[in-house]
Amino acid sequence: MTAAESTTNARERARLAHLVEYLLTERAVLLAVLLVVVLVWFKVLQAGQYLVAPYDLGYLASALESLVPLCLLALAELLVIVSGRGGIDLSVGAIVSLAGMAFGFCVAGGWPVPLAMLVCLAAGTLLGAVNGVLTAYLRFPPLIATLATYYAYSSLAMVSNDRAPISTEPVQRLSALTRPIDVFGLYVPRHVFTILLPCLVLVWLVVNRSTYGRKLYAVGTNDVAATFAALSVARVRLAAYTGAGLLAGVVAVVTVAQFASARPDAGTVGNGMALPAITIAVLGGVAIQGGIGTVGGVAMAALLVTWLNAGLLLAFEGSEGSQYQLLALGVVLVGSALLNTISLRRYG
Amino acid sequence: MTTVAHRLQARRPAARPIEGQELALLGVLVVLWGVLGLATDTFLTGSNLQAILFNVAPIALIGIGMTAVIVTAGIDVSVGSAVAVVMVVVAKLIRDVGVPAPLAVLVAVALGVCLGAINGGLVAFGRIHPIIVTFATLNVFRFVALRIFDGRQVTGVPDTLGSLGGGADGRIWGLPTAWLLAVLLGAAMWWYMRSWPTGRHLYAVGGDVRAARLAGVRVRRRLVFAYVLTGALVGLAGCVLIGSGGLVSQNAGEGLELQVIAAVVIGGTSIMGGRGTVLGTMLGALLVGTVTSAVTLLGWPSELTPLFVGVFILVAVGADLVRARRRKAR
Amino acid sequence: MAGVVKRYGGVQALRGVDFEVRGGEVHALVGENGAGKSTLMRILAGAERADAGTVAVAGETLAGGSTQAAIAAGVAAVYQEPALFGELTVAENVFLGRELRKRSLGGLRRVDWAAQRRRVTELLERLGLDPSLADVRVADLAVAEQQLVSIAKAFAHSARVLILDEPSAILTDREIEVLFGVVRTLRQEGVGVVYISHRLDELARISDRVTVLRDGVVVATRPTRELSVRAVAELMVGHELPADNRVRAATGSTSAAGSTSAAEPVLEVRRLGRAGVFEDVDLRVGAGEIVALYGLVGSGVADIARALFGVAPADRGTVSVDGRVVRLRTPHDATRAGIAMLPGNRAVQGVFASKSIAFNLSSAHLGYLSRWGWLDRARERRVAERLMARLRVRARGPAMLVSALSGGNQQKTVIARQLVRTPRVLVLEEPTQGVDVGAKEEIHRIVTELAESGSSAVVLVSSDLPEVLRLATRVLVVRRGKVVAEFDRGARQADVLAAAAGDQERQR
Repeated sequence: MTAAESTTNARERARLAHLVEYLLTERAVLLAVLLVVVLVWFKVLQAGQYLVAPYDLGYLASALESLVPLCLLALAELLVIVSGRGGIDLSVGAIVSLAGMAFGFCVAGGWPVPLAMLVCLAAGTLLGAVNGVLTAYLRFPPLIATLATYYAYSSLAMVSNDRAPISTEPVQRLSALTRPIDVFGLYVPRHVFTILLPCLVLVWLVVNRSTYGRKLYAVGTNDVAATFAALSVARVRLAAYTGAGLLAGVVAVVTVAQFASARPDAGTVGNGMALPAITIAVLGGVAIQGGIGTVGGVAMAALLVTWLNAGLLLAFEGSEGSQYQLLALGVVLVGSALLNTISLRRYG
Repeated sequence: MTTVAHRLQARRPAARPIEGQELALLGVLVVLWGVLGLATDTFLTGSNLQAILFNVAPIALIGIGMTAVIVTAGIDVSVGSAVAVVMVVVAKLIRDVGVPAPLAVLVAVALGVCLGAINGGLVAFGRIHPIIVTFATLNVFRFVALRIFDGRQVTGVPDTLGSLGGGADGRIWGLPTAWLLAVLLGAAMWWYMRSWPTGRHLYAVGGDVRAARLAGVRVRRRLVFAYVLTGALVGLAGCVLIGSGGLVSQNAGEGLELQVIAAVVIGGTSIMGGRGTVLGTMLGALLVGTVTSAVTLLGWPSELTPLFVGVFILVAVGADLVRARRRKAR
Repeated sequence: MAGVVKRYGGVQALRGVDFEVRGGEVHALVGENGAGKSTLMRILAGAERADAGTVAVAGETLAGGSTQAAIAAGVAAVYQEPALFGELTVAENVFLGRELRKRSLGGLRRVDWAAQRRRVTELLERLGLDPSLADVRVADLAVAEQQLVSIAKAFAHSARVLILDEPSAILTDREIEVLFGVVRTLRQEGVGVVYISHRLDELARISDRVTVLRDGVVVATRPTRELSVRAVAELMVGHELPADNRVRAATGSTSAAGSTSAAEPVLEVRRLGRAGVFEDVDLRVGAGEIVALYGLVGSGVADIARALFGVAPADRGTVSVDGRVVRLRTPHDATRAGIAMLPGNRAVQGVFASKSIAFNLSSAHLGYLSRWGWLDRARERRVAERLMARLRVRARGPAMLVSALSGGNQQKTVIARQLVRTPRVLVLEEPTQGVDVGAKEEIHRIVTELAESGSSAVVLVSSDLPEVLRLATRVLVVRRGKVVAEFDRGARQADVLAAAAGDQERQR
């Protein structure tokens, strides 16, 4: 080939390499691209009559209901995993159950709903703080500490009402909190706007703009250097676990309202809520070793998984759809871990 | 010049076959059994003890492998889903194809080995963190199991594997066969991890992977071995759980991994790797089983069992941490 | 080893070094930091390959760049970090990967524990150590004992050449005696021992010959008895630096010697001590002064620095800043008292590698750069740009990742972090370690400017003797945790080195 051609080739290759690097390092962008791929894919399936119901905007809007708890818990995991030293929280699902029971008791006991919500959030915060003290001050490995509290909290939730859910009238009325509202003809569950978006913004602000957020990333990146920079590593980590507990408390409110009943196994049924939350965090670019991860990436990952799961429910008959969701989650997790390793190694 | 002060310090205790943590655990068990024997008149009965041993057997079996995995500083949270796969396949085989017991066990173990190999391969060669790998396979294996279940529980499973089950024909000299199997395999593994170089190498891998590799340890082989062994034991545990037959439900094995990890951790194995024995795991499993039984017999709600398990985990690991810190301070 | 040459990208670490060790000899290798000792030994141990020259063991040429080949040829190195497995016993550690096997149970080869124990016990006895150590778990041993185990392990497998890198650095006197016993036994066994140490006084007691390296060249190889400590020190240091080789500050004037006779010292340390590490340290630093603490590895200098910053607090004595007594239990206390510290190990203690320069700079001053919990990013960027210009950090901008910077620029970044708010006291630990010559100059300039501005007192902890003499108004020599000598500006390198190495004659 001519000299001009070979330089154009070289330039194109360089541009391609840049594009690949951009995609691998900006996780939110990569996920947005994958999201488009997923949407297009299911649209294609719909056109080919493979779906049992249309995969349209109305359906996607209603699917956002499952996005709320998933995204919030993934953000909780973001906080603790970013804080470093093997940070992880296996107990978030159990916190959802236990705080949810507290919420149910208050509401059923006639307390005004706002006050009951406060109690629920306070409960979540407290339960998260216990995790924080165990890991940051008593130096238990986070996996162990949150495994133990997972057992303890789910046990207490079960015992609190003798295994029975609380579904009395006042609790049932809470479902008004999650009723859909009409947005340009689409029915979007209102708690996407009233709870998810404000929380997303709040967490984003804390993580990206506040002093604490900086401390969190510093401690997670290198806690020895953070000590030399006069940061209180233990306090920062305690706050991370407490914050995770608070978010779990929010999810408890949402879950009770969504099902119009406070169930003692709300967060622990099946494989529990902690597992998908951690998966989404890792998919969203959070590095297991700490110090790396963005709110945008996690939110995008949650959205991707939600709409992917929604599509899978339509693509398969009966309960098969929920089974394929498991497969998708597993494959996606390994894929994203590989991505994380590759991009850290090349562009770290 | 052998007379110069060579005795740097007073003699220190040599590394003993039984560690301090295990002795303490044994002590706790003995005390607990004594107290429960006095508090209730049902605890120390033959049927109750048989039930405890049988219920603990699957956890102890898988715990043998999980000990090796955690000693290499890894973890395997997919064992619950793996056991479900094994159970549904074997149950259908003995029900629909009439496979005899020995063959069924063979199939179970082979299947478990395959599942374990997937985990081991991804950890050793894919170099992905074990918790991520096994979180992923937890989902994928559960998917595979549910597909084979095909939306229904497996009912009417014959008692082909009754000799491993909890019933009367599952006992030898009054002890559940499953438990004896666990003890036998546990002893073998304990011996292996004490006396065989490759067994000791597991500790090296968990202690310092890079130093181990430099010292000539075949790190990848050890890792694959640990996960494959766990898989094989999952196969055996699946057979035990099918036992006298009857029913295999779709949520089989849910939460099993946490119970196994709890047993291993209570038994003194450090989650950071490099330390721990199978003996400790067996004792840890016995403790978990004792607590479960005690709660029922004392008339407390069975939901309290996890709470006690959680507390025991914290106490056991806490004691371990204190001891490690005291050692470092010297 | 003959004619060994080694370049590191433009810097000649070794320039034609000839070095030999005879069997049954303890050959000491000395030289300043950067003289090339570690490089030479790394080549011998196979960790690196020489650019030119040959290495031969027992007459056979050694292929370069392969630790396996070196080990097979009988060369073993023992470094300061014992690479042992804490949970395994001494015997297991010695034989890890090379276990003795025996046949049992139908042809299966399992570990022959009895034979291993016997061999290790014999080994320990031969080396003059307590044979009962064989069954002890390594984690239960003291660090000194672990080091002896490392030596035993190396000896067990490689019988020809043993490289000991600063073995006595972390040992107490009694432990050193034991170490010497082991080394003498090794010599009796016919092993050639290369003993690298800064402790010149020890060399007389243990070594047969001494080789002095300076700037990548062998300056002398002579029998130990022919040299005194002073003589070795002078050989290491070479010609004295010219009298006016002071750092010229940007203002063009030379820094006046001890210009501060100000009434109140900025930093006053009285009888500072930490059990087992250092004791009775007195220090007085005025504004504009740079006082250096100089000591060899293991002298406790770094610990004194850390105590001043609250990272490893002292348990005795007082520290006062501007006349006020301060308690330094945590780095936070130190920062509040106006003390800043540059940690010695940049990679582990200093940088947040995956983050930007701005992030790294602001990490110690987040409260200062924030308002009501809100980080003022515009201000952060301005501060970063200002400091990057002042310290001449070569980077595209404050958003550049620190991991992409050169060692010198990374170091400047960490130093800049200490200067975001001018500290009253600045403690610098090894400020130019692993830094290229140009950056080193710039860092020296910055430190001198800071001192001269009169706003800060500087405590310099460095093992780079020329640097110390260049920058410091006073040098305090620390040995075995105590201040043993004090020198003013204009002291001779050899004197300072001798004092640090334990030359009794020069005590003041």
